[in-house]
Amino acid sequence: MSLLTESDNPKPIDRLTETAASDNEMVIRLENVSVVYQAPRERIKTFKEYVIRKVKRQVEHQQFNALSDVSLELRRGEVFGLIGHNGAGKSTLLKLVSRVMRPTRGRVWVKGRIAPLLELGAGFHPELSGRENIFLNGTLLGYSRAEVEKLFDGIVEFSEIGDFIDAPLRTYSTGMTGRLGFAVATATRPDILIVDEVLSVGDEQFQEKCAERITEFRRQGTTILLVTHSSELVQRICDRAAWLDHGKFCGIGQPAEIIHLYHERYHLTSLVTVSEIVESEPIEPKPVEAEPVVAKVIVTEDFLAEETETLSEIIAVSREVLALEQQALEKEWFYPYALPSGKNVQCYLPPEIATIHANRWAMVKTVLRQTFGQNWSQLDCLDIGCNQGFFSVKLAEQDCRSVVGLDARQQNIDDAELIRQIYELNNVSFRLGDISKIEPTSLPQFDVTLMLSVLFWQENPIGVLRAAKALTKNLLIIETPVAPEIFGEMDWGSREVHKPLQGSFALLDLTEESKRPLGSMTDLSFCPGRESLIWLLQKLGFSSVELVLPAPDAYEQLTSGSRMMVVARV
Amino acid sequence: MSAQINKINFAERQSAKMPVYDSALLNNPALSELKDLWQYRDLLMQLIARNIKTRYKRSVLGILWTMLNPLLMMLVLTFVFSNVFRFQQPHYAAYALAGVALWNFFAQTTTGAMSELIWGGNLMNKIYLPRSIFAASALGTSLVNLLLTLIPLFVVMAITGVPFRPALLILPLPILLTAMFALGVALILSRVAAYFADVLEMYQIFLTAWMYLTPIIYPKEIISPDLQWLFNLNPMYHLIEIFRAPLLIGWLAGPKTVLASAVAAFVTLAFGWWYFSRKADELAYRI
Repeated sequence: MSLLTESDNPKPIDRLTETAASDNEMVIRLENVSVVYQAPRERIKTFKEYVIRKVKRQVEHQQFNALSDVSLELRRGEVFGLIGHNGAGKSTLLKLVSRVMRPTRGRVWVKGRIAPLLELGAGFHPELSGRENIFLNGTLLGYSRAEVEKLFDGIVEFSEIGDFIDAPLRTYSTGMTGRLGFAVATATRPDILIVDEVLSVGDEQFQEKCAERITEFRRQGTTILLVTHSSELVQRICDRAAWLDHGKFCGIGQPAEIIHLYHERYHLTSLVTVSEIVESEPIEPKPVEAEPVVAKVIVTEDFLAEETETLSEIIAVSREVLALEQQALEKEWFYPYALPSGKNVQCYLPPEIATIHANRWAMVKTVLRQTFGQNWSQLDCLDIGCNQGFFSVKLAEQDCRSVVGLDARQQNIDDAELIRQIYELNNVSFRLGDISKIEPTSLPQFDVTLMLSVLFWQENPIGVLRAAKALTKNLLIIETPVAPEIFGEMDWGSREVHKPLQGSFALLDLTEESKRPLGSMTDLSFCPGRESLIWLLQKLGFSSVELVLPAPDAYEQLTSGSRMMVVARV
Repeated sequence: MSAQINKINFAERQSAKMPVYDSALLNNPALSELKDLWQYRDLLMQLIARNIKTRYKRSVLGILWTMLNPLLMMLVLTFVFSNVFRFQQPHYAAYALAGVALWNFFAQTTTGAMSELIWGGNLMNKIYLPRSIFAASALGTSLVNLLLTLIPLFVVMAITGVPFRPALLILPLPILLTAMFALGVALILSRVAAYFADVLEMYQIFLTAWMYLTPIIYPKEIISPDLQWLFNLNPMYHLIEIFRAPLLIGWLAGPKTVLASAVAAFVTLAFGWWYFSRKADELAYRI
């Protein structure tokens, strides 16, 4: 059960009448607020490195907008919900309101005392006693010592710490620490309460007590700003809601309306259900806001006209090529290859599904064009899991200096080689190799590494990503279906208390798929979710990770977000 | 409700004077940082108390250790330098202990400020705190340690026959100037440390070198007279001189030394404060 819900409490909160009763005084106002982070293009961690690069004039800064031109007004007593993906700008917005950060442009105006519900144990010291910690935490929250003294008995009573009050905090259970933190943070009624996650504190009885306290605050006019991944919670308790995406509001209004919009965009229905099932489990979901992860989105350009033009150039075909074409026409292909003589191979995918290849190529092409311009003649490319070589051939046709297609199945390598001969391409070669087993040093580094439809077949995706990172000099483009995500945290024992989940992986049984010529090499797969993949790529040392948005008319799985393409830059 | 919300009515008090934050109204960051630090003075005291308590809570000797540590170091130094190098420094034990005590005060403040700021990074991301509070609490903590070290210093002076003279009463002045200098350096370093992870490490190496280049454990006369003027470029040299003078000579140090110390203290603090508070609100997302 989450803290703000009242599922055990039959009386519904009548939000309209209750807030109407309080005056309509403004408490938070954001006027055309923008926050621009300026970060070195490559993360420079040490001073030594900075000095060296500064001397060499290699420090390039890039800006990205965590919030762009956002305006918002909150009134007294309102419960306002904020939804959006990690990196959408939610925590930046909270930081502005709680005065932690100042806007780059625009104005933030806040009236009243703000109380944040801190994560468990923040601002506590394990060696100090509960009593000492109350004073430390109280003064951290801006109370004077005299005020904490007056509040002290109430805090102890509410937190149910009892005789433990003089024992060092390291002897407390997770629940006790959480209770103490909550009791200090809510010792007086704040004018604005910031709840950056669905909190879970202690047992159910205590949670009820917390919920009661928050409800009471609300009745007395506290404005609550709630950030959560649970749209169900937003719908239940918020008066208004906003959906933040890439630093902009996609909508502000009635919670039901906003959630509808949000789901429509991301087809998140299944995802929401999963996180709600988990919510009732002992492990409480506690969404953790990472620093904005996806700084940039690349929108796919339309190359259709250009592509058909090259296809229409039918050239004279030699006898040797015709013989090879005959071989190709005798078998079924995964890709809809168009042969030089104008014939098409038989593709075993139905045409509506086969469009995914063209969509993905348009996405890859957009990324490469935006990064390297029109001329790719200096690029060395690697196509991991090249299958029958479609993307390797496409890259080679664009006059890349060299392209290596890597696949774990000899049959695919042979097929790809056949196509290479038919197309008479000399800048592409195919070799047998399994990315999950390959020794990265056995290959040189490549400017561009493609890994399309590979990751979700892997039983060791992190190892595969590490190998791909090692092979990449510049860009790694990954396209894969993604697992639904679960957010929250995991009980990690008494010392570290909780570990936030950085995303989740889905465990899949691929016994059937592993027998087919296409697909996994193992009978198990461990498929990452959208956020986990993005987080992981950053963790592995890529300096930026960008999302590639498909053209609006692209294959359904790409537009719905169940598959995604990301570009990770070294 | 099972538990009553505390009866003290802060809301009433607040309605008269409800705090209003307006990001557009920040014209002088240096001044507002100072005002906020004053507002959070109780937190400052709590942080200092925490530092002192947690440092000694699990050690057997407890707070005694603060006094024993420089004392043991002084014993080793006295043995080495009086018997091995045979310095002609009168009252060497008190000379070295005084130097070490003031140097430690400076070194602890500057390194402590950086590590505390990094500790506070997580909190600063969630709640507003004056960022300078971490440098200030490091200063407060080292000040307490310095005052505790004065006890063994006085004991050593009594044993080795250094007379106690009325000049001791001006001791707060050199301590104040050193505190100002240390805070200034701490603020400059904190801002840099927020951007780069290796600053603390590099600074510690620098600090060791700096210590040996300052006449703390050796008399300045062992350096050839042609090079002694170089000490004038070292602010810590002047500060240690004005700290030792009332203890060992029983009078103020020369006017040039006092002036140099005062200039170093005021200029460093003013610059450090300005430099730090100018970017104080960026530190939250750098750490």
